[in-house]
Amino acid sequence: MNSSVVFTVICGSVDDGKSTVLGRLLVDSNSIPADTLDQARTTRRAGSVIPVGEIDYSLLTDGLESEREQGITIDVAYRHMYLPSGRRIIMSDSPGHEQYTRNMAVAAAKAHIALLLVDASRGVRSQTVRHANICGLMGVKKIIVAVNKMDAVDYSQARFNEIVTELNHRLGTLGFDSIEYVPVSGLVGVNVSVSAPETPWHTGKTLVEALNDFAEVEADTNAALRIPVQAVIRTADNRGYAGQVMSGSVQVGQQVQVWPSGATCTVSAITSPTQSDVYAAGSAVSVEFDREVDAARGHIICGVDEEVLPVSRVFLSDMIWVSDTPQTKSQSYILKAGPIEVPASISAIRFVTDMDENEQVEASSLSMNDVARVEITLARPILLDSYEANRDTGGYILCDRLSQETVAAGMVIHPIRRESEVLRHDFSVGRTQREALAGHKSCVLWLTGLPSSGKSTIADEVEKSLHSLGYRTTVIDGDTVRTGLSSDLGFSSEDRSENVRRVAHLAEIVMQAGVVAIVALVSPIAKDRDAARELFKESDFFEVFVDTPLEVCESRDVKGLYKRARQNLVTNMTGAGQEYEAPENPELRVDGSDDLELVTAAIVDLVIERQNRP
Amino acid sequence: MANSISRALDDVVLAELEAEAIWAMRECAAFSNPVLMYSIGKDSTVLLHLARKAFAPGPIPFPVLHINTGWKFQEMISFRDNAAKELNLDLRVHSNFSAMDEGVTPFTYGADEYTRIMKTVALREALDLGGFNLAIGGARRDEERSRAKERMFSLRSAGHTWDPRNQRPEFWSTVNNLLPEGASVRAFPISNWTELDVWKYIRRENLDVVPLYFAAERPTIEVNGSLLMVDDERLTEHYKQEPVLRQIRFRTLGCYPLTAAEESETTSVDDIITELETTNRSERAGRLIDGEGASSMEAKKLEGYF
Repeated sequence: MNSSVVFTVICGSVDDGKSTVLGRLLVDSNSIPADTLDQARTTRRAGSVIPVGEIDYSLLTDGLESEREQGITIDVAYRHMYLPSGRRIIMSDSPGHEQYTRNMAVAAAKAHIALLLVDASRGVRSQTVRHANICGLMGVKKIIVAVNKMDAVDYSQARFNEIVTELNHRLGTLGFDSIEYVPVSGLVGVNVSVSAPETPWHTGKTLVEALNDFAEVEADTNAALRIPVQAVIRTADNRGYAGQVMSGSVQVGQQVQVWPSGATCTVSAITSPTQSDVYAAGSAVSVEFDREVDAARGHIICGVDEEVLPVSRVFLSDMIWVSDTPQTKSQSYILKAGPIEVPASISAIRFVTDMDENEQVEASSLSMNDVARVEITLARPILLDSYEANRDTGGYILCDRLSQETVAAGMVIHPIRRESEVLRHDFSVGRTQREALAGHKSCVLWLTGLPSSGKSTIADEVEKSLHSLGYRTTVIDGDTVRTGLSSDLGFSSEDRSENVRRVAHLAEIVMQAGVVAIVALVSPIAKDRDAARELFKESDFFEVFVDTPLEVCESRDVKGLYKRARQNLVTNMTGAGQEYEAPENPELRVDGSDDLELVTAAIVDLVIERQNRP
Repeated sequence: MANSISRALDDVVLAELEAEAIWAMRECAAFSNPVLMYSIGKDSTVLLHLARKAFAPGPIPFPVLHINTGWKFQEMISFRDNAAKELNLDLRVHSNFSAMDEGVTPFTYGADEYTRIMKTVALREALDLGGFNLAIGGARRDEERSRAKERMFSLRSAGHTWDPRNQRPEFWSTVNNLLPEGASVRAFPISNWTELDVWKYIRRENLDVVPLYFAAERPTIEVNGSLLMVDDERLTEHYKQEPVLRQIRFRTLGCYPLTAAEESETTSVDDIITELETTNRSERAGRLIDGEGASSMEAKKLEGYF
């Protein structure tokens, strides 16, 4: 959001020479007062080999007494630096130790640019990768890699290229838009602010040049309007709704809507410290409306051009756990997103990312510095953007109810279920009209069970039977979906959940069309099926558990899956390797080894009985 | 520093810093019992102005607190009373009266101990008495290295102590305003400003500051290489020196026996800005209280100093 004061997170592993490079940058840019510089020429710490009279750069970025006692940096220091363009950078000097990753994340969350240090002789270390990962996760789009201590490897181009190749491979997947590699020596002053003869082969930028180019931040004026209301100010004859424009822009005469009330109104006046016609992102404003509107702290002023606001009660999110106290299942937290406050729980952990290997691993709880993908369920729906769209309105924190501490920072990916009823377009023809035309009520039959339990065969029979009775029907078969709608998905638990989610939404559309949807899908995970059920009213959704004994399924083995699973040719197969969580309270339980006609009749009865319920 | 920054870029930077500070002020008001610390100096002047802007045209929705050691410059006190009257502030003043009665002065105790008793202890008393759970201060990250490390909303545990090893993480524009029993928050809306920003903002907004920031002939004595202004007879009585008139000004304002003046010809805000852009000396060099031990600001902060 800021455009002239640009935050840069400076990070990398311990002892890669952060303080020397940063000290050199600050001195070269004339950002250090003369008396402080004098001290750095005369004061010497025990063990220092730098002759008195020369600048010990590391002293300029020295930390706290409490940190020096332990000989480590614990938290972020913020230092001003001035670029040749006159622009200001606030350098967020971050700790390199793994245990303080959360503090480094604090710095990255605010940063536009990352300056990542790598020691040329030691090369890429696990903490280097971890920090690059965190920067990507926190939405930093521009990264400068300073391959430092080039003097220790005789300014070897081959060594530099080796590190570039290795890092490029790893950085490629982290979402950076721009990457710049610079061979430097903080100690000697090579390529920090002046390009040096030591690296004639380097035709790229110096650190200062790279920072200067990256510091050009352009604001997105087309983004959706968001003004989270922080306070209500009573004026002589009206009310001012005070907040910061987080994205988009606002001006007098503009029509806006206020979430959650949905009320639309016109902006009649704007008070701001800096008077202008249009207030863009970053402005602190107080907005008045042409009529009385229900609005308070935690409400959000939005544009009217957005047909559906991203309001959700359940959403998918990335998260970093920042508390010493591990997360435990079923615990409820307070979620805060700007001025919004709502009780929340982590309803599922999809996976935890192993930061060193960049791999997804399963986890049942989260502990300090864990980075995870989770599902969050809120006590009531709130407006949350995706973090990708806006850090301020797509980022949130979780607070512990007992200790009151901040336990996690979250980055919204997308809603899992949109609570958009209020603002959903009101179409003239609805389910009622469509059902009237069809002459019957629609519903969803959700057939779940092991592979080869007979779901598709039963679905086929049920459809034939309903069709002959005059019902309009369609079958949504797992295998068919996999070849089209979900052809991009694999068989990890995350992908399976996503597949179930898509099928559930598809079934909902079919049902809204006045058609009986017959779903035949393994859907082995109870919480995925529960999430599907949540999309429907109770009378519309019938879970049918096709409870065929495993031996029968395995002997049928229509697709040869069981056989190949036993030979370890397929993994993650339900019934052979991956568990099938049987439904506890299905609307109907049938055995696929029973007489097909009886089974079909029992299911068809569900649809017929449905006709008599509202 | 920053002598290449053009005026146009200054305006953009100031607008951004101002918007950020106003955002922070409005978050402060969401705490149940906030107070604005007013030390009468340039930073406090800016802070007060930002608080007014944040809630304009309404009043500042929290009281303003001054910790008086009894050794502030007389001009500061009259400036304070004037500001309170003109801006219609809910001004509270607190001093460590029992220590005053016991005769604690900058002369009877070392600067460190005096500061602890008259400023830190007095501040803790005042916050406890008022039940304030958020105190807004004008500290900036460019001032001093322990301040460079502090969050904008900085948690203090019961007893007002700061634990730099375990600061509450701070993300985006979301403030955790939940507090454990007895804990409080120090908020620093102008964390990201520099001394130069403060003066440029004072110029842009045309704000009045205590005249001591501008050079004038004032009675002074020299003590251990530092120029002290004779604000009343207590100083000359103690040092047994005759005052000498010198053209001086102050870069920061504190207790007058502990605040060194500089000889200067600087008589306007424009001059101060030019001086800062060319002299390049760190701001708190004139604060005698920072001198004792390289980490004394940090040590004070751990005990509850701002």
